Amino acid sequence: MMKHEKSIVVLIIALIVIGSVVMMLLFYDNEITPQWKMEHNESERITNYDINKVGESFGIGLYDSPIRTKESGMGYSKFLDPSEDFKGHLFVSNQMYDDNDFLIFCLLDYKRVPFKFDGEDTQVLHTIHLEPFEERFYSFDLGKIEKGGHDFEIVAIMKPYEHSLNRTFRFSTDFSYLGGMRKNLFVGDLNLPVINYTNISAISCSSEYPLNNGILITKEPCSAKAWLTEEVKTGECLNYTIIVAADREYPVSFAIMVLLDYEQVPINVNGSNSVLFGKLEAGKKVSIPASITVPDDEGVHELMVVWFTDPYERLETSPGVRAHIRAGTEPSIRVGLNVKDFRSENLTY
Amino acid sequence: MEKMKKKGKVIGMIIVVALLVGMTIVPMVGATNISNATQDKEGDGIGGMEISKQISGTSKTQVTWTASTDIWHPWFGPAIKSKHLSKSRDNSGSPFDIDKIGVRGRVWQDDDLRTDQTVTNYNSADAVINWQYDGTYYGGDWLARSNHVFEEGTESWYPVTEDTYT
Repeated sequence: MMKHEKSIVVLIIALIVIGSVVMMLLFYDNEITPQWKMEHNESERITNYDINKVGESFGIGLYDSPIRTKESGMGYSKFLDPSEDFKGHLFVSNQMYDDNDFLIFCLLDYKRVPFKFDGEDTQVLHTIHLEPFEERFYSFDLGKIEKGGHDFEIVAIMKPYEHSLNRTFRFSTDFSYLGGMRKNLFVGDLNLPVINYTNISAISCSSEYPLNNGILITKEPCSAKAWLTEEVKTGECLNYTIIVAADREYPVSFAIMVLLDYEQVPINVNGSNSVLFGKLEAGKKVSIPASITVPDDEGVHELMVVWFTDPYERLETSPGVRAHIRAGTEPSIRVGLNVKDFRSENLTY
Repeated sequence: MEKMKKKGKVIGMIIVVALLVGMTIVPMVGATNISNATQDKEGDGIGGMEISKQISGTSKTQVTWTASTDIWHPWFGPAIKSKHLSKSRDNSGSPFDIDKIGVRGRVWQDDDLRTDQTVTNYNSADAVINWQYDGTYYGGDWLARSNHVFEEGTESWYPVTEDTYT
């Protein structure tokens, strides 16, 4: 072979190799680095996370006794005698670098109920504070529960008193800062209630609407624009929209509740429903009109909607065997309502 | 003739140098993430300060749960891609099935929701969402967020991770 022919062969091989390298470089499917990692060893848990990329890392659990073993876990079905108090222990673990406040409340059949908590008086809302990586048990007692089947859920809301109107903070509240544990309560009765679905006038959104198996609250029907903050007048009626969507592949039944400063308020100002039950066929997405009366106090108030899927579904197929249903609880974006009393401004000037 | 030989030698050297550089770059990209890269690629920008703390617990199983979100503009193909990942692994790195593992992934372009997907698996070790945006305009600020679900026995964890691309 002539020298220049050899050079050409070498050149071609080199080009092929370079081409392959470039292609590998362009299409290399890099394994992404975990941003949150929890290692469970025999005697300890170690949590690592990237503080710039992780907004929430807390856990809750319900136990019959304050010992973190599977045997003392409450299970997904709780059987009570009508003469028996419903009580137990809530475990909360703040697996975060920051200390955090958590607001704790209990829902019985999707309505907030008063309860005793950690030795405090009976009330609806209880606040706890946990130091970085602190975890604790808290006793709770709801007293006697009415005979029948019930859904019970204990809810923890993180950073309840953060009122920043900062865009980044408001986005960080989307489907975040809320943990809920649901149980079926059977009090002298093994049947769960049959859902009485709410009669609602909803607007259908197009199948292209991006929401999928979840909730979004917006200013306009079927809008995909995040609603983060709002300047509002004291006492005014604020109209907005709750958009809910089933998954593309399966239907969903749901309950939704509106919390204004963590108080359960009616879905609409002129209505009496403080919880709305609905169901959607697969792929269906709807806008539900909603309204609140803006509080009289000036300052930032918190508006959020909570979405519960599969209400009153059996969480266990038999004692100890978990049902494969999608029962979950998810909050909307926490909208910061910046309330101003324009009447007093007018008087001042 | 002499000139041609010299040219050949120069081209040869350029090729060798290019090969060496190329072979060096590939492992760099594959092995780690470059937090100060000028172009956001998959895995870029994760870095940051890591913290750790040992927690006393009673778990008997040696298992690691990991969660991550990544959004980037690929050099070729769709305008924007995102990955939302929940994984459960044992000590050897093999999949370790747990009662319930899942991830909800949402991606926002400025204030507009672009996608919302959920994957929930039972008795499984993985839940992954891969999404891509094929639109022509991909300017603005992109925010990808994931709500992860890990449930096993009495342990329930729902960490939230996020990533941005501008």
